[in-house]
Amino acid sequence: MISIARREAADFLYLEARLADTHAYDEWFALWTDDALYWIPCNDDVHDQRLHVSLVHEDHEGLVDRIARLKSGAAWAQDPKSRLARVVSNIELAASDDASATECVVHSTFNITSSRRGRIEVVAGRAVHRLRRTDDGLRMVSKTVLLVDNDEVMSNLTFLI
Amino acid sequence: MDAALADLVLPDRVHSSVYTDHAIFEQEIERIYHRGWTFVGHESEIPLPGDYRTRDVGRQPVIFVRSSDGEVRVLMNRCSHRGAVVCPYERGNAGFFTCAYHAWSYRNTGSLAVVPYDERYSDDFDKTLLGLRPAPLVGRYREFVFVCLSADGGSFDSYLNAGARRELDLFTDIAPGRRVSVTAGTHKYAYDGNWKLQVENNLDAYHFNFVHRSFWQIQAKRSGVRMDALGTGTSVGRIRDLGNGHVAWDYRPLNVKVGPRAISGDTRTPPVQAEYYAALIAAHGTEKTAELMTAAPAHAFIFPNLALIGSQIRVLRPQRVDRTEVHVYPSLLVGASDEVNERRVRAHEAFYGPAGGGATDDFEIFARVQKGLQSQVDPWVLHNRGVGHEEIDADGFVSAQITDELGSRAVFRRWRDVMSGAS
Repeated sequence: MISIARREAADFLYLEARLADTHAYDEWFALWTDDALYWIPCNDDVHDQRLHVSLVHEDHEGLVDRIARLKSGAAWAQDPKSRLARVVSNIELAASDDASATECVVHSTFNITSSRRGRIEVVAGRAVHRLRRTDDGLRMVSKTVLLVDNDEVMSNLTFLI
Repeated sequence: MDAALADLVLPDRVHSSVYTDHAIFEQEIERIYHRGWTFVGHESEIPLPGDYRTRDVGRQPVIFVRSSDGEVRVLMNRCSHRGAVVCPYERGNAGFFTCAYHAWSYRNTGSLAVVPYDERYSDDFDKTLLGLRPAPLVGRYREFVFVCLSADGGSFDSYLNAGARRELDLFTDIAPGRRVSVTAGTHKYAYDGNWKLQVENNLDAYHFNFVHRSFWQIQAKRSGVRMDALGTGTSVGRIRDLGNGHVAWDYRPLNVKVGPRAISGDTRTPPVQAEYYAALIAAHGTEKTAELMTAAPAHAFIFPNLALIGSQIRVLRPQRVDRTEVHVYPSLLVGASDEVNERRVRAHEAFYGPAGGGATDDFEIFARVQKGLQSQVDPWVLHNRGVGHEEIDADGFVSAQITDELGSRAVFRRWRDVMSGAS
């Protein structure tokens, strides 16, 4: 029995999307658990996480650094910031393997339109979130982002994906 | 000699048209990339017979392949019949490359195996003359494979000189197994700027404390490691001209002062270096290990398209005068533990790649430079830092303080010679 409802999970993903789109770095970071893993594989959707390079492979400490950098005033790749709007859709809850049902896995599809210096770019893919119910509400334990173009030549991906 | 091109590069400055002029860019592709030596790939990328990577040399598509006979070859990716690429994939394993147009099929050695319905060709039709064309010149050193698409591009030995080989040695010998494995994937990204902006930047210690302030300040706060010590005006690090447009940093004086940095980057967790040093000493002996750890990591540019930056092989792929692709291959150390190699991969991706915290800021700066260079009231770009303060070092190389612009001056001197026909 999954005790996290589809509607609740969807609302969480929409909140996360809005915080990322609006560069609300601290609020976005607050959505993670301490045992977080933020993973964006490179070259393929599945590879050895240890010995194959990723686009992003960050634990809680790595996320702290990412947010500190974005807030530093010297993250030139986000100066000016990308203007962002993303659509999150095709949300599905997978059956949880957690007997206590405090966690669930959510599959979704996203499409981010970014605008920077007169150029419109699209970043699209599928995401897999593992959400956990905590005293503070739902939090992200892991987020894996499978970009459709993760084996292509890419441009600026320094905003929150 | 093309005097007009030669006049664009002065000893201490460069005319902005070398970064912005479309016609000059086309000449660069022809003279530097199509007639000269360039890096094409590392043999560890294609360990098994049939393994291949497709690459572009300048604009010319090639297949970098380990053939069934075990030989590493560079074949032109062009059907001998009507010209289609015979291999449309970036990587894979194949015994044969079959053109999809009329099914001409080539062995992975390049020889032509099958021509369908060949009764319609005349009696003198000779399949043995119609294999995939091999690159005219191929050179190999420490599994680094270089190619020259012109038969009169000069000898490999004179191109990859002793100074450059030293850097490939250093990059490779810090592996206990004396080999690196280029099997950890590729970051592929592009920026809006001329390819030489990345070349200069590879060798520019001066920018680090400013462009990468967001990175090193966070590292300093977390671990106390002051990465900014490298690129100050009083740093004891050196940069040296290896000849032929090849340039390297010389970390030795700095490493003697602050300690070795062979596994660079990840300063967040206690080092796993003890086990790694033990493996190195077992492989090389104490003296050689000390020598390597004093010199490492490699940080070099091999003209015109290869840089070795710590754990990384960086390959430049000029697309247009104002658009450049960079393919970056983090390498693994053969004979080192998975833990050491994982540390290399994690440290790499924190800084590099399209979502990393370092190289992305460089790319933003390149775009700003490319825009600024459109201003032509004073069209000159200065590379004069440290002019007159060069020294000859103990190894016989022209050397300077690490933030001096010796590196870009050496690259542009080579550029001038190649582009103007003086070499």
